[in-house]
Amino acid sequence: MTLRKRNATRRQFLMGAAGGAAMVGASWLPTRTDRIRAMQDTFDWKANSGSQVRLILNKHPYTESLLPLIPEFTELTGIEVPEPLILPEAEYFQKLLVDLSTGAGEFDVFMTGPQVHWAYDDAGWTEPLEPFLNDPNKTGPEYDAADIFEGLMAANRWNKTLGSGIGEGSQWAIPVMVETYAQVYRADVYEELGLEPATSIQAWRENAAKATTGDMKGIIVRGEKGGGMTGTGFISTFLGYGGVVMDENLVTQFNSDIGVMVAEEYCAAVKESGPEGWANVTWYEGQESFSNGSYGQYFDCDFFTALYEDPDKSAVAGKVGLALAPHAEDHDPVSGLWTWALAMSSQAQSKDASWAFIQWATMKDQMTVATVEGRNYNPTRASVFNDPAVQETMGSWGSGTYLPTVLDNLDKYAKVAWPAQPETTFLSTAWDQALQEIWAGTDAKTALDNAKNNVDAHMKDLGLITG
Amino acid sequence: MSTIATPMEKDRPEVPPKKRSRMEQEDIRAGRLMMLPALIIPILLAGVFIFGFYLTLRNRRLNRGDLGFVGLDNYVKLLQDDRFWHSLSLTLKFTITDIVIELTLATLLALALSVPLRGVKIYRALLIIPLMTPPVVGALVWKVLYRSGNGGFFNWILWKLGLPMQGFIGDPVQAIASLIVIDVWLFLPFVAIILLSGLQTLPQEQMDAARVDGANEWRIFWQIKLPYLVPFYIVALFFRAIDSLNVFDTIYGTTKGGPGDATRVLAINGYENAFPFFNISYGGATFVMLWVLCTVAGSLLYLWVKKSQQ
Repeated sequence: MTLRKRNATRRQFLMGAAGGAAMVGASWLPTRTDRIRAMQDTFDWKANSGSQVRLILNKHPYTESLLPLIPEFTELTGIEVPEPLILPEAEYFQKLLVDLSTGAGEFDVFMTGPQVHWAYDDAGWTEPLEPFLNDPNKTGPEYDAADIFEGLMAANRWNKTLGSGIGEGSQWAIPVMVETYAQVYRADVYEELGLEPATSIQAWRENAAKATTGDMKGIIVRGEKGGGMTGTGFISTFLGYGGVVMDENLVTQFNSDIGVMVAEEYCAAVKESGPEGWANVTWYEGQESFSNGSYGQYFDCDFFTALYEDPDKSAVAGKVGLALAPHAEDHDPVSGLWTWALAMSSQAQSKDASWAFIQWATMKDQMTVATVEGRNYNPTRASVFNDPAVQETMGSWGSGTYLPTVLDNLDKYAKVAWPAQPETTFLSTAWDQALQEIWAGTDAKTALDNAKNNVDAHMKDLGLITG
Repeated sequence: MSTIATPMEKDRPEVPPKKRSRMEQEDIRAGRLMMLPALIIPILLAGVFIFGFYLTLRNRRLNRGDLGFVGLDNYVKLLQDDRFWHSLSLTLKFTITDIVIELTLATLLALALSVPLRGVKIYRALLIIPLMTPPVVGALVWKVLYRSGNGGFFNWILWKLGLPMQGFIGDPVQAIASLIVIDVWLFLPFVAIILLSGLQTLPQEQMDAARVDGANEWRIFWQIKLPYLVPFYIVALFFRAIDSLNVFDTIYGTTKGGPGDATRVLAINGYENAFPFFNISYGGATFVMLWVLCTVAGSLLYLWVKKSQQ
């Protein structure tokens, strides 16, 4: 994926915006009336006036940033948006699954991301969006889909070919935020101890042990089964050692020698230098524990840095650094990739109105406001990402290491880590459980072999692999 | 069947059937209408159960639709599934341990609260707090208390005391015991209140007579109070056994069956198969087995009640 530096062709509303704008607050942002007036001039936003769009949203910074803008959408389009249903992630996915799988059609637009919506796409629960994107009567001239990073759009395309086809076929969702995975460490502690951010899994384990001093433990990572535990730092490291999750026939390969080595080192590091009750650590507990200064490193989402660098909410503001995931000497680093994206239910009661909402919510104006005022990091539009105010904010994080690390990931190393198939939840949960067992003392090879057999049997049962 | 009229009946003048007043007829009609829910609700309950059972005879996937009739295949597969047996064993261990602890502590608590001391009513009122807490909320509160590092309440105390911090629900060895503590906290008051109500209806004369005869409190408890409380224990046992076998929200709100499968009881196993893994038929089969288990446990308790009454 390449980040293009773009000219400010669509930034009339950013009058006077410059690098220092963020320092004087967000008063330079266009007013609500300005935004609506500007948009009404170029496209018939009232075409679906009187319709309704029902939303289900995950509790997330993006959601928080979007909610205050929704009245503008109604004013602009005449489309009503009833109070959205907002749920914490686990409950959110459950509720959404029940709605989609039963065909209840309670919601029109929802938040999702690459490996999750494959199951929905395969089942026909999501509406392909390219007919809307490519229709000038349905998508305004200002939309500029090319401004959204192509790699992130591609991550949400799939042609439903099992094991491949990502980036091809239909556009199932439009990305609104992107996260990659990085070692976020306590730069002050590392400096004091003379440590360099690890480039290998062995060095990562050693760093964690050395940073375990006094009341501080060296490392925290997600440990809750089914909570993205293997999907962030762990899978990035596994792929950075050349690991393969599934082969082209969808036969599980995570029990390979590489898989066993990475799992052993990873779990040993957590056992030696991590939280006592690791198997119960959620992403938000990890985030909170790192931000209160209890751990030397949190190997997880890059954008959590927004919280770490907020002096009102964090004890480690100005003390963190970022580095790429550990990897083999003869292999480039790799980062997994996740985008929160907006998708449309195939049961949507008004598809045109639903598209109008998705289109509006993913436009530059909304994303700029969501990012600058609502901290929607990392934005998925080049123009927003490269906006001077956004650049200045992100540029200051991690003592200057945030932007280079994220840009390295986005430009060179980030990719959708999971093989394209609809049973990712089963696969990842089995892997999660194996890691928990290894951490608890089970031999790594045994635990991973059992998990592999479990997944393969499940895939055979569904006819997704034969033989 | 033919009947033979007695001589007296032969002699009795024929009385025309009493005509019901309009008001009486309306009462009867209203009564019949009021009976309707009693007829409809069981039919609905049975209907849902039958539909659920029917689903287990098919191969229905949430993400792939109905893949056809498979008969008892899901049950055969379940009986060959190590995770099912692990879950069953864990569920039984959880239930038995939970009930033994709850009944023991509830007995002590009920005895303490039956002593007419000043302020005891306040304690009785406080006892109701966990009862009013939805289990999932209680579980989430305990999850925070159990947290790792010095951000968790218990670990903070251990840390302050200079003792090694513990994993609690995040540790495969301690997880199930930690969950039993939560369940005991949630339901101990329920059992204690049942036993307390039993203690408050004890025949005072018998205990006074025993005391006059020189019996000590231990003997009074063992030979008078305990036998008298047996029906109350059975009621508490019945409810708690069924509840504990079905335990879900406490575990889902904390460990979701982990670490590994250290707390993966039957209800969690069934849920995981049915929803996150999309296999509603296989997950449903687990719940039917759980229903069988509850029915067997309930029947055994019922037989025990009958026997104790004899």
